Amino acid sequence: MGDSTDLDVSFAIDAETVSLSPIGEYQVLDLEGPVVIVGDASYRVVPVGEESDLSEDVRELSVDEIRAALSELADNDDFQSIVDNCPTNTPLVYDDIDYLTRHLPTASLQKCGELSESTPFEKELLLQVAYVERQNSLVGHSDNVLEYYLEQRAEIAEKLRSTDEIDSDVERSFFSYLLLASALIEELTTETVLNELFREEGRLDSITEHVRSMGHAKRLEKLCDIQILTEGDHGSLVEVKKRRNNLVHDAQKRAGLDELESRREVAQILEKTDRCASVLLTISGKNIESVIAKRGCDPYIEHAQSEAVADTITTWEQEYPERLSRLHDCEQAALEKIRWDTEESDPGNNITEGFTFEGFDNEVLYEILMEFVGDASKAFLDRIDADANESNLDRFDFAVMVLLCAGHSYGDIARWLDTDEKYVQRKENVIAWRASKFEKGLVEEIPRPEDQTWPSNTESDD
Amino acid sequence: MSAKGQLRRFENRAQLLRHISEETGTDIDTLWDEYEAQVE
Repeated sequence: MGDSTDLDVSFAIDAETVSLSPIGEYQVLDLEGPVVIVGDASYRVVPVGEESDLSEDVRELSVDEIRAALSELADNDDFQSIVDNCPTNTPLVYDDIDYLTRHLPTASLQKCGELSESTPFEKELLLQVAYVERQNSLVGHSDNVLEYYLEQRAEIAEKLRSTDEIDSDVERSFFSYLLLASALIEELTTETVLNELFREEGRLDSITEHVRSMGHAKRLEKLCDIQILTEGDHGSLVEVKKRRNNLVHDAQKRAGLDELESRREVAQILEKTDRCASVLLTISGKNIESVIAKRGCDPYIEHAQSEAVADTITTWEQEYPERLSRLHDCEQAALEKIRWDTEESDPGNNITEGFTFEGFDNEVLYEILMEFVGDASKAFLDRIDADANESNLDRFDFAVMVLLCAGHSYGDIARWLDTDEKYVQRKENVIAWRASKFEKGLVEEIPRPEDQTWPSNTESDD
Repeated sequence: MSAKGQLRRFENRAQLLRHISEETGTDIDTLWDEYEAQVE
């Protein structure tokens, strides 16, 4: 049956703001020491703590050595095994190599020693490069699958909008979408189970193997058991898996999209599946920046906006010096002090500080200002991304902390972060003592667990 | 070889160069030009 009504499909994952940095080629630059560039991001060894006399040692890793190691080690299985055993972050107060040699299992360190003997690279360099690889796989959001997923989602949505009926073209496109959605969800589920359930023991190959051999359904159950995943979302994720299996294993069902008869029905499934992928992107810590930007506590927002404005001024000084100087020359503007209301979607229309609009009617300058604030808004998300990565807490718990510090209710935080209220309560128990000086400096005061929080007995009373 | 330090990830060029400038005292204009010259 044809259906020519306009079809509005809305998605949970915002392709514009989700931090998408597929694995790219490494480049090694020499900028006062080695810097490894991966896409828009970069890695550099910085001195530990405040001991400035260490900076000479830090520069001893040579650019040429790193360059050679990156290209030679890419396909080495032993090296990959060291990468897999590396943690995704190290405590800020420790030297990375010292920490890694204590953290890694003996077998990995032995492999590192053997590899050092069979290659021109020293053990420390091998560990450092392995750690870059491990970090990039987590905080680089290096899911090429996510990129393919978004492309396929755009394709099926466009086909649904432009056709009157479900034809074989739509069926094929939807099937491809569902396969990619399932692959993305399963990949993120595995990662989150490893993060949450085996936080420390994840360094052992055998534990990683155990999680991989569990099967997707079991991994989802684990996430539900530890309450990072709500029961409702768990049910929806099980449905996605069932639908995917039905279409994969039954050609007849695939041809009819398992009895989805109208564009509206296909669009609804599309939206539900996208929402499931969005939940996993959030609880795996990969897509938390926009929630922190909108709901974070005031001291943190002030810090991140101030850094973002400084980053933007640095960029504009190099790339748009004339436009920047016009803004600097404007009496109404105090560029360094520009801030905006983060709860609104368009920062340009919500400048709260740093510009006086009264009596201002210069349209050209207004356009330049809007561009500046637009760039600052992107740099703001980058800064949150960098802070979440640098934090001693994992990325998702960093988001929980910044929202708890804003005084939001457990229920609101759980809803915004796609998790269970109980998870937020449990984290409040540990965040205050697990947070380092770095996090404490960003948020000023971390709330303490107070009052008892027994489960509501409303249902049993009924 | 010793490498006493922490690996830090920077999300954009300005973050990186501001950090290097603060750490080493090299001015950002020079670092920016160096970056442009070396990046492929």
